[in-house]
Amino acid sequence: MDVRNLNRLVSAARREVESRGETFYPGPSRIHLAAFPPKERWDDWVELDSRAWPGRVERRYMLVPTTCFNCESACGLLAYVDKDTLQVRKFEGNPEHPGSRGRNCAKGPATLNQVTDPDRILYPLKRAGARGEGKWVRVSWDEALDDIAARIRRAIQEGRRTDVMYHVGRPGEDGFTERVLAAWGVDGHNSHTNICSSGGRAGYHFWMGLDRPSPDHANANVILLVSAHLESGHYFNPHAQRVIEGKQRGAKLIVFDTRLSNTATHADYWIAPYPGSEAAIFLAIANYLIQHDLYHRDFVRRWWNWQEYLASEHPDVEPTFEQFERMLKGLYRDFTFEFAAKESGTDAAVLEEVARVVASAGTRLATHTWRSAAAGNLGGWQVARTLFLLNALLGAVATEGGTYPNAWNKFVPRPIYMPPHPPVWNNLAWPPEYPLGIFEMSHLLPHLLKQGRGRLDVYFTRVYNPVWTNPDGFAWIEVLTDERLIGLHVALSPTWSETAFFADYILPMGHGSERHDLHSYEQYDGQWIGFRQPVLRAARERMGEQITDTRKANPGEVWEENEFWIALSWRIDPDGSLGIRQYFESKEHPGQKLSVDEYYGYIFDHSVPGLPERAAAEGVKPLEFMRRYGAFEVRRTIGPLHEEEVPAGDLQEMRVDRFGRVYSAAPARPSPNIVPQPAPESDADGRRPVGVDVDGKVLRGFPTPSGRLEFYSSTLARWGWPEYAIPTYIKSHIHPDHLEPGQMPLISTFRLPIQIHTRSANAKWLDEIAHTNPLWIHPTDAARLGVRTGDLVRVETEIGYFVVKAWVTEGIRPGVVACSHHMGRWKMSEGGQRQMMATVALERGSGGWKMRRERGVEPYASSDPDTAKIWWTDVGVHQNLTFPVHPDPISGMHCWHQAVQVRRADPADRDGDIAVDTEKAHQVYLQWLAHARPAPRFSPDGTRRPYWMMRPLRPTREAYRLPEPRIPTPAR
Amino acid sequence: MELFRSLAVLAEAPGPQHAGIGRLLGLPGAPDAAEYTEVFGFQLYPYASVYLGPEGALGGEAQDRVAGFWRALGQTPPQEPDHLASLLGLYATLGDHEAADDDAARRALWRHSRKALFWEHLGSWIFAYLHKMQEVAPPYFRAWARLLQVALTEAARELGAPDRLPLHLRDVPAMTDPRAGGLTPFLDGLLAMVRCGVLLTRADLARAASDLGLALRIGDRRFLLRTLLGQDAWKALDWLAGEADRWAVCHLQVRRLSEEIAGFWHRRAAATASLLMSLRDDLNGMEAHVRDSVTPAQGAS
Repeated sequence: MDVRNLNRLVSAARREVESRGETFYPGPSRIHLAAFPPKERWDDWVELDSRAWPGRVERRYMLVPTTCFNCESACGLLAYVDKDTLQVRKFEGNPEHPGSRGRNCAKGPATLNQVTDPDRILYPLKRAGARGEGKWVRVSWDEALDDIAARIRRAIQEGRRTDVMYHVGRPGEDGFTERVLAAWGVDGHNSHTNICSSGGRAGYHFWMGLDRPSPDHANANVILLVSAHLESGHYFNPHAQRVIEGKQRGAKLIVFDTRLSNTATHADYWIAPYPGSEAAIFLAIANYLIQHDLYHRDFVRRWWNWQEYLASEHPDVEPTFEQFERMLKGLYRDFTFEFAAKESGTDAAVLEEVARVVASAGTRLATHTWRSAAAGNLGGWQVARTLFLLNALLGAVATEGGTYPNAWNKFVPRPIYMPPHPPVWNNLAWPPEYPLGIFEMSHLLPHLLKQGRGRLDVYFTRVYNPVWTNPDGFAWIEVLTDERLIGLHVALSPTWSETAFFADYILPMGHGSERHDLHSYEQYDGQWIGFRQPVLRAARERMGEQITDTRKANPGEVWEENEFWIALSWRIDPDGSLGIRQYFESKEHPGQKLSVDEYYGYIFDHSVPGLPERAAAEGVKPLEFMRRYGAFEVRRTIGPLHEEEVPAGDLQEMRVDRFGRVYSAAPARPSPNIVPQPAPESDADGRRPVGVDVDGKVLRGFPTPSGRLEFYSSTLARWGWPEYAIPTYIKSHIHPDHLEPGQMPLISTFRLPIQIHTRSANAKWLDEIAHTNPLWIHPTDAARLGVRTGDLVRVETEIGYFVVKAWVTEGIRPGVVACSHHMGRWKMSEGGQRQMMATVALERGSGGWKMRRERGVEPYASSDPDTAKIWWTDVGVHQNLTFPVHPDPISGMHCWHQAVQVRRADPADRDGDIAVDTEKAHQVYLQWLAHARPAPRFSPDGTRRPYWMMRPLRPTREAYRLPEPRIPTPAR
Repeated sequence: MELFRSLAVLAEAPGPQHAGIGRLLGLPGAPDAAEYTEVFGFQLYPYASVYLGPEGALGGEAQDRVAGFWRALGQTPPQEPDHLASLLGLYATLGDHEAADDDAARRALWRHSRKALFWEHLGSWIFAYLHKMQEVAPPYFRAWARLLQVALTEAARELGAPDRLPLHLRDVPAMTDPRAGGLTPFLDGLLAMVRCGVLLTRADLARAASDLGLALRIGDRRFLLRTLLGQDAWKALDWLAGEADRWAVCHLQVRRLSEEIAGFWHRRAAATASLLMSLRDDLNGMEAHVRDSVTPAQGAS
């Protein structure tokens, strides 16, 4: 054995392989060998039963992957299916998942609680009394499907295509249901996004076309988070582990959070600004970079649409970059650290130090904002826009350690069918006042219905609980109980919720381990797909059974949505005459229903590059591979796609406009990746935009109208908001200038690290850890009010008040109070979820609504002995009921922060008391509505909305046209 | 250095490129994922800390020490700084730097670093590890271990013996006598190579059960040892003493590379053999501990 010869041999082989541009050595194994059962043993994994200790009882498991369905991170889980009992005994992390890499937060393993929750809904239920009365009868799936399908069929046949609406909370999948609605030809998609992330999205959308950031935390030099992102938020677990990796590499972490969150405790710089002042600070940092020439000059020159800015705003000046730079210095010179200090209440010297740190990042600046400040404030979308300005100045866009447009780090495989765009526009979801609203104006739905702008004949709520989650929940109850406004309410929910109480049908859909979904999320510079699957079905199939209906493997008659929508669509169009059934038919067996195996099998066979080969290497089909491992990394290290040259074949009859936008007559090539993208307009001759001319090369650019990063948004300028066309600062509705004497801002949006909206309330492990939401109040404010920890305080909003316990803490900025939104679950009777729902009395009088807690939670006997051990009674207060809607006139985002008066509670007040005047709430809605700039008055082209902007379910081009230049008149 | 890099890659979970690399090196067949898991996941964990740490487990001070070496080189320690693949990769990188540096002084520094890495974190344990792998692994990984052993032996000769005993091997607690310290610390010591000088794998304990005609129970190695002792302490201790004797001889094979290291391991194994034999010959004292420490529930399962 000649070692030297071998050395030479391997070196030569490596050189030869690498000279072809290929990789000789694979990267290191990503699997922490010592922490996970090796995948070769997943069919038969033996562990000792911890409950049998000190006895040594062996348990034999089949490990079946799925995906967590609690928050949006979609982390991989491994279900430990007991081979003897075919029960899931625990969930742990899936090391094969590229995003979460085997690690989970507390919510993932708590999926077991949700599966075994003794109060969960196992059978289809139909209301027996009046809506909300709490009387239910069990019905068959057939009865429910026939009833719902008949109503939808009628609506479609009668041309009432806006009478059907599907309202989703946690999507947990990429486009399946949008395609169902498209197949039905209804513009019926409604989401929760305008109470969630529209503000953040808008800031990104107007910059880069895509509406989400994908920061490369692990490789950053500086990480800037506007939130408690290490502990909560979108993709927090996959991001948190990479933030910590970045820190281990020496990255500095800057956190903006008015509260001392767990994230703030990990920061090198924690800034606790006055809420809503964040954009002022970012502009001060931007100004520092600009005035000191610390920005990436060549990146700005090549990639900003500065020429369009000069042409539009300063047509008389010479259109040179040097001229633009001079203007840039002038544009932001007033945003000094002193100004930002005044707005934020943070020391100017500290801000300057932070600016220096940001400047030191170079192109390795990873930034992230999603909800938080962007979701709290009027103009909150400017928080995202000004934050991304820092990336754009430093050239830290799609760089290693920088921030990517999300779609570049996401892969949505093309499915078996792509139904056409629906030919209608739904004004209940997309009212004309908000042409630039990033998503559906879902929080306004009760008011739009009350105004008589439409009616819903069939209304699905799916994993969504607007009565509890949305502001102004009593307005929701008012419309949900009015059958003239909502003909049939179908709640697709695995568990009881405040909204499901007001349904006509509650149809039980599976938890994360009981359903199929396919998804991909931007969590690092790579692309992956994750496959959620019903694990008991998968386990039984691995044992040789053939299961074609997931209900047969799920508990009770719990179903999954893929099969449900297919079955429902067949009943809507049983003979195919409506043209719907064709999108739900098998291609392998024409005339039969499409099965989920065929649906996903097709995708994995045809639309995921590399998957068939990878599966073949293991001797299995792609579907089997995905059932076995649960995830697949399509590509790693995507890099700066905007710098890619457009292939010559895509440049036919090319036309370049005066700003360098390149149009081509070449048809678009079908891509296997159908990740949602904006749709920049074609030119007058129908050539499609394919790239942008940068220094004489046609590069792919960004999916914006200009093809560049839009420092100047012609969209905002043309659609009535020229004053906000460039990144700037908008004073929040809770800015000190807007507060009445004695008012304080209330931050109501923050999450608790181990809960997730209403989805986790039936997870006993999580409930035991966190079950209440006291009001955070600073000692100086507490002293002024004469309040101590545990005292009851009354928090008065514009439309009512809530009573809550105080928590006096220095973890909140003086002059600001905060209350987490997770708590305050309630039910009106003994039915419902008993671990986290207090029993309340609801009273509606002339002055509005009142809620009083009759009983907190208490121990109870059930199939789970742990429910007899519940030791807590307090489940917090449902503060959102007391908030009116605050739609941002541009992004449409509900601006969550409240201006409140806080005082000691009255002697008669009880913890959890709520009073709300919904008449006042409607007036507040009208006040905010008045700030909007409606399409009929401001549309530059007679359309309802800029066509290029994203929309979850995009109707036909014709549907975009405004019917008449008129705004509906309020009915009351 | 390329050889070390390629051998390092083969200590990772097999992927599509592994077969080609193995062929280049003349290894028989292709790596099998199940075999890989059996060898590296169940028999011989490829982490320095398992063999150098007094706990005989992954992590701890031994791993911190390896991570500190990475930091001393100005590098961010990888997630698993003491994984054999990481260490071999680092060794190859240092060798490349040394070869590429035109400056004689810097080249000497690189070499010094390489030598330090070799003897502190690789040579201090790897020869026993590879010896055992050649005993228990299937042909592919046996051949891999043989090749790595040859390459490392040549590297050791090229670098010269270490100036002093590696830090991992200094001031390490020795085995405890169960008659004084109880059975559990004794078993812990038997499973920590740095304390007992013996490398006991699951396969070894299965062989013990087979050799002695005793029942093999399912469980971790500590449990297996306990149950072997519980069934027939004399036989089990005698068998273990034989193993320790064998290891005492085996460690001397490294003497030609480093007297100090070979001496350390030899003395550890010899002392263990001596302790085990004395326990065997004092069975009454030993059995009391075995009885006391095996609870009825454990015995009944």
